[in-house]
Amino acid sequence: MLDPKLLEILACPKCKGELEYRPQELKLICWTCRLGYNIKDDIPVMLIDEAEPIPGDKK
Amino acid sequence: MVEALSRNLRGPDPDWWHQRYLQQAEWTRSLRHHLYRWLEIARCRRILEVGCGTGAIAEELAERTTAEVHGLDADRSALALLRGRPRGRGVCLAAGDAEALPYPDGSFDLIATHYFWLWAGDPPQAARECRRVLRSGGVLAALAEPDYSRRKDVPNGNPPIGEFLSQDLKERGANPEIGAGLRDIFIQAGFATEAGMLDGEVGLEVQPEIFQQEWEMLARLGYPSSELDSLKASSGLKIIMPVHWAIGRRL
Repeated sequence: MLDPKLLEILACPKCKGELEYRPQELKLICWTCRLGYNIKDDIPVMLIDEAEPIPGDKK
Repeated sequence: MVEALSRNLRGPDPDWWHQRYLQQAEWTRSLRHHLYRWLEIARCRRILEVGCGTGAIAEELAERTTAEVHGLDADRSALALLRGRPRGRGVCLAAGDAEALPYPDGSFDLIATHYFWLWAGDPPQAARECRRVLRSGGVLAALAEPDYSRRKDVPNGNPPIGEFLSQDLKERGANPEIGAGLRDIFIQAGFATEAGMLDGEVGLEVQPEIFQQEWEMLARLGYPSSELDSLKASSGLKIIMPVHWAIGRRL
């Protein structure tokens, strides 16, 4: 579970835009950059090099 | 930068390194607490520590203020250690690079750093990012940044300990002399900057525990054991370590 205070403030490190939180997938998604940032052991990994490309359209 | 910070913890014993970071924090405490009072940190609502590592400073900030305290580091093993401690739960943690901060513009009243800039991959870019995420009037504080190249040990070993540690840090991707360059880096990033340096001095008679840990660390890093033995047998041992600080205000 991500700390609500973190959720409120975190932004994409690349474009600084808003993120979508997907608790089931343990991911934070930036639709502008089409990147998914993983949450590991409750710590969001906001490293651009480790983000995963997100294919397709926003669901 | 990710690589450099991971190597910083050196293998399977992050607890030992946490003790080392606590000792560094102890060493620089009077300077840091003076800066806290000057900066009136009690008035801050949201604070970020960039390069928080295992949390020696972030936990202190969470205890001394009512602010929401965030900690960022590229090294996940350090963050996991911090999160595992009860005090660490008072800090909001994220893994990230100082050069690409994962926060919106104007988010923080204070950004604190401690023994961080020597590990920064691109210090000017990190300083610009800090400026971006500070609110107008917010402060970037380098609370302490060492200059290992000018460390003096009395008596000294062969090789001189300051040189030995500088070389080790350079091999691990750090810049052990960054402290002296902070003022320029902050000014070029657009901060109204004040900076200074003081000689931190410790003596064996007064603080024997510091020397105990210092010798243990030197042995771990492969400093010649015969030299270490003769140092331990010397009397009147002193370490003089220049420590830089810099305060940048976003106007």
